[in-house]
Amino acid sequence: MKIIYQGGATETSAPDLAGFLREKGIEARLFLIEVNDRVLSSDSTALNEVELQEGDQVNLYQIVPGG
Amino acid sequence: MAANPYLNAGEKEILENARIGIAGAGGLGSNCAMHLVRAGVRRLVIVDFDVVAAGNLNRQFFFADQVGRPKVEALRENLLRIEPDLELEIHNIRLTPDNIHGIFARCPIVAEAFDRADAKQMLLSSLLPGDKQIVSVSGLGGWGKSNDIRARRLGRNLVLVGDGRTGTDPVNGPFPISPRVGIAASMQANSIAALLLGLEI
Repeated sequence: MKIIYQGGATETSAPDLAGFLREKGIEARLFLIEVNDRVLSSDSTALNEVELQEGDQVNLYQIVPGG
Repeated sequence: MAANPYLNAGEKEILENARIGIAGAGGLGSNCAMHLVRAGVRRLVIVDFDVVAAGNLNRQFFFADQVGRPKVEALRENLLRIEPDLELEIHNIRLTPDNIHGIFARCPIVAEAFDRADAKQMLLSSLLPGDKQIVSVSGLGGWGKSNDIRARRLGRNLVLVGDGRTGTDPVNGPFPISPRVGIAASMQANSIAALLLGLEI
C-alpha cells in the first residue's frame, strides 16, 4: 500500500507501524512518531497495535537533548 | 499586585486558576516558569533534582549567589520576587515513570523541560497516552537560526517546540546558549498560555 512518509509517498507491505519502522531500517529510539492525528513515543508498546492503511501519513520527530 | 496588568477579567481568571507542571528547572524550565508567572499564571508544580552550578548562569534563571542551592528552591525564590502571591509546589527529586503521574496529578498542562533526551522520552511515554496537554522541546542548541525554532501541534495533546535537530552536547557542542534556549523557553510558555486561553499556538 502507499502511505505518505515524511511528506513523500512510499510503498509499504508492513501491516502495522512497528513493521513499517523495521522495513525502513529505523531503530526507533528517541523518536516521536506521528500517524495521522496520533502521536506515540518510539518506545511505546502500542507501535505493534497501530495498523497502517492506504494513504496514512507518518512523520518522525527526533527527540534530541537540550534544556 | 498583578504581575500582568494587561489581562482582562476573563484572561485573569483562567491564568490565575491554572496549575502548570514544570518538569525540569534548568534552561527551559526556569525561563518558562518565569514567563508564565510574568504572564499571570500563579500556580506551578516544579520538579528538579539538581543544584545551581556556575555554568548554568549562562542561560538559566538563577543568580551567582544561588550557586550550590537546589534549583527548585532558588527558582521559587526568584519567582516570588516577581509576584509574591504565588502557589508554588516544589519537588527536589528526579522524575520517574513511577512518580510522574502523582506529582503532576493536578496539572492539566505539563512543560517538558528536561535536558537529557532519554528523560524527555520518559515523560512523553508516560504522559502522551493520557489526557494532559504536553509542551515539549527538541532542538535548541547553538547560535542564530532563530526562525528554525518552531512550535507545532502534534496529535491531540502535544505541542513540540524546537528545530528538531540541534541537540546540545556540553563537551563538544553545540552548546546551550541563552538566546536560543530563551527562544525555546519563551515559545514553550507562549504555547502554554495559548492553550489555556484557547488561542492558536
